[in-house]
Amino acid sequence: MAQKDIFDLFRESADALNTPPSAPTWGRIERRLQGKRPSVRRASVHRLPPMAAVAAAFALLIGAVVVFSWVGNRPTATQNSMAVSTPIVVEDLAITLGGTDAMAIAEIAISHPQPAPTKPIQEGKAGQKLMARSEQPSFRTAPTPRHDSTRQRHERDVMR
Amino acid sequence: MTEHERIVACQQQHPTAQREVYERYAPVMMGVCRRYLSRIEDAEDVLVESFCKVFEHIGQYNGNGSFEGWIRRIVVNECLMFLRKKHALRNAYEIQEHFDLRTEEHTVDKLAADDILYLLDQLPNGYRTVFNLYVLEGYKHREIADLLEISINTSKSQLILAKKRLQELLQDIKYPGIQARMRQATSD
Repeated sequence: MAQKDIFDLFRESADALNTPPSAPTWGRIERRLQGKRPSVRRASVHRLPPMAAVAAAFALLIGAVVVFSWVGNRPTATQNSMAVSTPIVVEDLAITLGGTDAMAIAEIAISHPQPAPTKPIQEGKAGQKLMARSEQPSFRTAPTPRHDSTRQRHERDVMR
Repeated sequence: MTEHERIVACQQQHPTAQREVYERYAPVMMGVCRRYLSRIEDAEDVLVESFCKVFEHIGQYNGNGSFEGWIRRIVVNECLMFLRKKHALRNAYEIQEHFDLRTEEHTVDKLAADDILYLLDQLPNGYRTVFNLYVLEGYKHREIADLLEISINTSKSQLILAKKRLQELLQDIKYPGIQARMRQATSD
């Protein structure tokens, strides 16, 4: 039998090491590949040619300008309601005085004389109670009755 | 589906074609990973990383050379990268001794898978890597030196030491039939 070098021995025997890896190995590879594989939606965005992207951006800009200018010129809700309602007829308030009218106005002025000018209210002193002139206490008048209870009033009626 | 059609489909990221490529080459590439790495978990991690790179860069495969060879190069590079990350290749050093290996030959016809793994697992990472690259991948010492960032002489030294260690191990474990064959070889 021909003698073999140890290197040849290993070269010829190396195929014996070919063994399938464990079952979950492909799953690990698949998960990694799915993570790297671009989705359809992402691919469509990434594959957009540069000129098309510029055109799309320009179209968006134009659209935004048009929308904002339309919103700016649009009448407000109040303006809208005024536009919808019936037009206001402004009444002519100018009075032309005839002979009889002038007489009537003079009579009214006589029957309703102008009130005398009232005295301006003087400022009171600090720390005092504000009350009307009619409410001011007078020594001649009886003191202001005190508010009593129903029971006191009943006793008073009984004594009478 | 032919090999070319499968590759084209993979370039279009077709999942079924990717699965077919994996099922076809995964056992061979797992064997490659196992030769470089002792732990089966590490080998599977590197295999996952390698196939992800294969499918990610399959557009760069231009049809020159075999597709299996292209995948194998990626797998080997990933194994080396893994070993570098683990600082497993730091202890490679150059020897000054000279071994006459021509007299150290064996008469074993084939090694079983478990024995290959056992023998490789007994080697230090430096010996093992150079041995794999030179003997089983067919790289030259200059290429190995570039890949591992070592000198050419260090690569040669590592290979000689690997061979010597493997011979000793084969004799120590009394590999089935090896004693009889060695006796037969001496009587002849």
